[in-house]
Amino acid sequence: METLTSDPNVQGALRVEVAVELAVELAVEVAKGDGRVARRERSRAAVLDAVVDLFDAGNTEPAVEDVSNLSGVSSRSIYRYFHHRDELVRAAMWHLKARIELHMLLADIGMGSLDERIDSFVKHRLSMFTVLAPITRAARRSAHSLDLSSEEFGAGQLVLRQQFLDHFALELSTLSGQALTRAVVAAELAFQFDSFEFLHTSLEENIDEMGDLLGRQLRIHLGGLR
Amino acid sequence: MTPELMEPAPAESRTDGRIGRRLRNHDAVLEAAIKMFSEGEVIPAVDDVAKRAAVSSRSVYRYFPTRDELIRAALERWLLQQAPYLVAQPPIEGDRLTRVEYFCGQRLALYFRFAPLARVGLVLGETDPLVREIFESGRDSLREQFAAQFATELGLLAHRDWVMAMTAATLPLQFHLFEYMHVGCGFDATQMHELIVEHLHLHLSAL
Repeated sequence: METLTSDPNVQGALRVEVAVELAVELAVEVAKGDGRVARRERSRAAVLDAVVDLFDAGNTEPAVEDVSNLSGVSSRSIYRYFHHRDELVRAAMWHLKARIELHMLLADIGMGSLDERIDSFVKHRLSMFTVLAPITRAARRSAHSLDLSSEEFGAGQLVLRQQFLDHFALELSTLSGQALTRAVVAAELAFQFDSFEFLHTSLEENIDEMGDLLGRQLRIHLGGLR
Repeated sequence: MTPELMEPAPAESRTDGRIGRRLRNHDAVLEAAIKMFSEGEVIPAVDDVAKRAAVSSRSVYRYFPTRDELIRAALERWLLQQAPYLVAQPPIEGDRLTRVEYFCGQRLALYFRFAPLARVGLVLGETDPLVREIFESGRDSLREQFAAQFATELGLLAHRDWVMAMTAATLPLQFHLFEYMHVGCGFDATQMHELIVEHLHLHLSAL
């Protein structure tokens, strides 16, 4: 099976081939003036959907053939859109981010008693984790060299932090400056993806126990603030 | 005695010299890789390691046919060199806060010494079961040290509660959270110490 290559020679050869193909395509496009750009966008999205689905199914090293079969886009076109593996994985992570953002919305922000808000917060983050864990694991394994967490996912983390600040604004309003930063970091430690992974393993994948533990953590950290 | 026998065997001495140089270069390559790890380069490029060691890339590939083999050999050597610092400290006596402060100080010192090594190990561990095993057994012994130091607090719990309490209390001592605090949030050693001491103390007191 053909895997996306990172061999510079093969890449070089592919690039030349792609350049020729693009030139021909451009000439045809100019001549015909049809919707090739739109079709290209659709195929590109189909390819990325397929990669994300393969990640989701636990396939960390998707072969071009698999991606092609699943997306219905030819291997040749896949190579045309993405010159090498890193580029495809990176693009797939962006694509995944769009999916994650759908799950990021937390209903009833700031509503209810502290206990109710802790419960809704924990429930929301746990459901995000259950939905996104397999995909995130696979993408990370396959993209560990790309340092994705810092750049692409910085924005997502900011959204999640803001959610935390808004949901517990009442308790956090007593703090400012360094004390606020410290309280937020302390409370958020348990809610990092790797912390969830740690809890998941330590508690033998028992999601209810994870919820109990996370709720208790938040109660200990936020309970003393007001 | 004939003159030939008095002379050192030329072929042999040449071989000796070559083997000697080969060993020196081999060591220089590994040491260069280790230096680059500790400067923050997680998986350095073979050409860069060669340049740093003042050895040709060709020779490096002769010693280590792939980059993975080079990185793994350097990581193993580094682990051996650092092994003395990994010896477990015996638990200390004292009230809870004293023990918590001491223990957190130990863990932070360990983090600042081993962070570059752990970063390399985590990346390699994704594909190398042996490396993963080494790090997992390290994690287990760290857990045991924790349990020994806080036996007073943990000792009376039933099994499932014990697991929950251990998990909750040791959470902020995990490598990824040290990284999150230090690299992600820009906390220095003092701020990290304050935060984990507070966390640990709260959780142990809640038992």
